Amino acid sequence: MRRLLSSLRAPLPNLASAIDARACESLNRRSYAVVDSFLGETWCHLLRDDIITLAERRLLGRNATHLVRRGTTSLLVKNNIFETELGAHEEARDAAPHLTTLYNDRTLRDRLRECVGGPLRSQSLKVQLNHGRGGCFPLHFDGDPSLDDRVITAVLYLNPDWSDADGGHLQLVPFPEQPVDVAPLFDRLVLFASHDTLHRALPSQNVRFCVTLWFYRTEPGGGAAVADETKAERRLMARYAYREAWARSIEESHAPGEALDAALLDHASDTLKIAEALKARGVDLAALDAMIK
Amino acid sequence: MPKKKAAPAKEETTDKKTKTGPTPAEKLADELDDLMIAYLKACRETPDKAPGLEKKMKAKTAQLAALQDQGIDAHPSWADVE
Repeated sequence: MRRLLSSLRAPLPNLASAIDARACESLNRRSYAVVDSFLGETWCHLLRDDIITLAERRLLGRNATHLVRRGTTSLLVKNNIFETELGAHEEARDAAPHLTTLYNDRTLRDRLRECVGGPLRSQSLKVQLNHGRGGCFPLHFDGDPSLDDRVITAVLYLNPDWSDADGGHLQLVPFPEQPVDVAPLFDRLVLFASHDTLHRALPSQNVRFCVTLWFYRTEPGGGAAVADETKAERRLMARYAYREAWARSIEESHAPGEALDAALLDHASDTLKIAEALKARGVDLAALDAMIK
Repeated sequence: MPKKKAAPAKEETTDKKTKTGPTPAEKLADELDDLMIAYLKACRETPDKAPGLEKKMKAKTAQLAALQDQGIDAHPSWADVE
């Protein structure tokens, strides 16, 4: 009740004001930025409460990937990860008014458009609850330029009293720079270039809340991004250089079984193909390995 | 009135459940998920109940870890590695 009254008194803050010139510069030059005290305590608690409501009403589903291999489909389930995409889930929007307000708000998108100097015409929002007990995500890029035109990922963390021992850091790999571990602290927003920043969530030993916003160049269903050969090659190099950590992260993130075995086989086969493609372009694979040691 | 069907023998029911139902570790993990939601709800609405639920959760987490350890020891691929 206290928080409901607070929300009536406190409309959603102007999200643009927290993204200062320094954050924009970091996003443009390093491909990521960390913004603390983004939303304020009241709204962070309201969003967190909404996620609890969604969990309580069983409106969050287990994160699972459908893997198709040799004509058979298996379900690769992530341990302890529950989520929903608000835009595609009307019941969730009705049950979570504060998350819906954030989903519909345009101020952050408008500010980021100024930062990156290009169009950002739509956004989506995913809620995630990690039950802890080692719940994590493998290394990945958000989306793929051949499939979607995501530009920026923004993750807001809602974890009061978080300690380093809880783990659950967001590991960003702004290749060719070294990885950076960012703690999922309360009211911290992390921004990064969706297609170009390799990242993962490290195993969490405590319950962990976050909300992810994705910003797209076009309207929903607008299509693929503009091809950029330099960036495509850098993605392949990152994927090759971190192939062992990538395999370990797949194992850490999923329940054992046939689907996990299939995912590891796919990864091994993709790595071989990537190595061949890089060699054909004249990339020195030994030099790539040396870069991450 | 149609006659009620006879209930299956208890052993049969138990056997079927063992064959098709979740493993003990999966069942415990589901219970833990439910407990986690109850705990989060208590933190928000009835904070005095939260410590008790947290204690229960810790006990079940330890139980689950023990079960999973047994599973790892019994896994043939690990035996091969060793």
